Amino acid sequence: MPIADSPTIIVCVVAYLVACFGIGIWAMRRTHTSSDFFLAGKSLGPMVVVLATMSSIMSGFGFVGGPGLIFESGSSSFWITFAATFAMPLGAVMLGKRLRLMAETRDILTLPDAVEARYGGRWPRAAMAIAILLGVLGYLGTQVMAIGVVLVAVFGVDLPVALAIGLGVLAFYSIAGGIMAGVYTDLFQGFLMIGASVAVFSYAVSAAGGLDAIGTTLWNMDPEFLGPWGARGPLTSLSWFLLFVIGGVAQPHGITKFMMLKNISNLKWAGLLTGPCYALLSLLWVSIGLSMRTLVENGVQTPLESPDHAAPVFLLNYVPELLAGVVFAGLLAAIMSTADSFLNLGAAAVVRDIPTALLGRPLKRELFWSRIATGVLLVASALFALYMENLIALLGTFGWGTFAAAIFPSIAIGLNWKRANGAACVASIAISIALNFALELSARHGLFQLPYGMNVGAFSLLASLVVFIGVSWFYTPANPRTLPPDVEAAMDL
Amino acid sequence: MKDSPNRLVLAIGALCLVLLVLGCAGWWSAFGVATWPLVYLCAAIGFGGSVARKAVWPVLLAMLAASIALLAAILLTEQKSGVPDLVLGTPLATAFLIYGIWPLGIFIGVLYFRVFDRHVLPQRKLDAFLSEFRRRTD
Repeated sequence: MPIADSPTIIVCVVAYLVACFGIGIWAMRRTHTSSDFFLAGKSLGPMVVVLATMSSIMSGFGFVGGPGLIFESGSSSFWITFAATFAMPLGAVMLGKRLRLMAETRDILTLPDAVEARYGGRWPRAAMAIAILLGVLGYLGTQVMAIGVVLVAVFGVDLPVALAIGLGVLAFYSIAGGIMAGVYTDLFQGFLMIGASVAVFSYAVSAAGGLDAIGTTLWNMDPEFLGPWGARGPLTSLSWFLLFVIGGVAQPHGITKFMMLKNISNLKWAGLLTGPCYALLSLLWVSIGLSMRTLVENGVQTPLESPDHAAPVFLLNYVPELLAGVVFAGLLAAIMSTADSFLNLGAAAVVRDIPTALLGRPLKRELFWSRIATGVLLVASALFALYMENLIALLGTFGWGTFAAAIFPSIAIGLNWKRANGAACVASIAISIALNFALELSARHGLFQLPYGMNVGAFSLLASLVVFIGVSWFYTPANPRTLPPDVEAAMDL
Repeated sequence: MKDSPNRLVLAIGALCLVLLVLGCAGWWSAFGVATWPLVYLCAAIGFGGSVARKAVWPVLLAMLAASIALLAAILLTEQKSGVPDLVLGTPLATAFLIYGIWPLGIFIGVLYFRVFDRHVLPQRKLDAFLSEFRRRTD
């Protein structure tokens, strides 16, 4: 990662960190209960939900890995980022109303709470909590590492010092203000990210000589790179699209935001606006990747050490310092907004969901233990990131696919289909975890790889859906559960 | 049509099986085409409700047709060599992806917004639900 060595950039990033700190203090005064900590007291307006959903889905992967992926494989990456315009409204259509109505009638603060309300029994809740915890650990580790790497680039300090600065701020606002601080920093971060993305787009296009110059250069380099499937080929691109459209519906850091809306009727705004807002963010992803590849091919820019350097190298060399500072702050915002959502989900799994599955109730003094769990998770993920990089890389890859395959059938289908049962929920979650882990591990060690570039997450999602629907259809429990009237009414409405 | 969720879910299950086979066999163009009905079946099951169905399903069918047509356009115009016709800097086939498929998803959100008050969550139904089930502690 190149070092910024610029007072302007440092001032922008420090101002951003101070703003996060301030929002943390503000939110701490408004966080009195575990409902405040996990669901912001169900008090949010539509724009906060829209921007918080968008910010938490656009992680460091989008702002750093995304341009890198375009730089490396061209149009293949379009199929990931373009999927969000489908996934985000689809999430509102399939889940928004039902989750929010259930949260109105029951003490539902987390997805495993909703799973228990829908299916009954402890096993579905336990299985969902374990799937979320595993996904969270992986994602959190990669976000923590990304925070450290970005701050090393900005401040030019060693990684442990950078981690201490970034995680100190993240820890403060996440522990003090819970998701209340998370969503309001997400709101601020969302505006920052959209502004940065739109501004960078015009610089990226003009730096490379305009759209036609980019197209001509990249076509002459490799027609496949700019063709509809990119360098990764058609099946990889299409299976990415499937995974990110269908799986995007089931990302817990996105869909739990629906339950935080104050006025249920405002759900329509979440359905309408999250997709276009995310599309604006994608401009940075797409434009930097294509522009940097063009600049390298034309000999204007020396070759990059790693595709992931595309965004920072572009920002440091081709945009004004002030804008680069704002975008670096936006980059940090993208990473931290995802990390705070995962911290909150992980704390909920540890303090509320797993104890409820095992003991029949959450821990006493839930708010206190949630704050402790948030801190412990952050420290653990920092240690993982520093000392178990291979495990983090595996879990990071595993995160999105596991959430997609484990959560989509039980929540997105299960809340719309009364025939679904708890056995199917547990079976599909077990299959999704097993397949994702086994296939990712075997591919990494060269033992077995899915043919034709089929994506592991997409394969696991499809298999998990087949298992969920098959078990629900063919297996009838000895004592079938009658749906509680409020849950049934929420599904019928 | 009372059992339509059952039918929709069965169709989703069957489609997932088909997609698994197509993916593992490497029949990528069929895999791409079969992905679209899965997306819109999920939307259809999400919209649910008999009233919403009449208002929404024709639009979803039209979007499905548009999606398949755009994918077909990509397949038919894909060029692997020669001098390409650039549309705003991208070859024609890629332009169908960027300027056709990318914005299409936004229409699901527009549709949701348009039918929300009348079909998805009418105020009188919401009020009835809340008066019957809202927690006593609130």
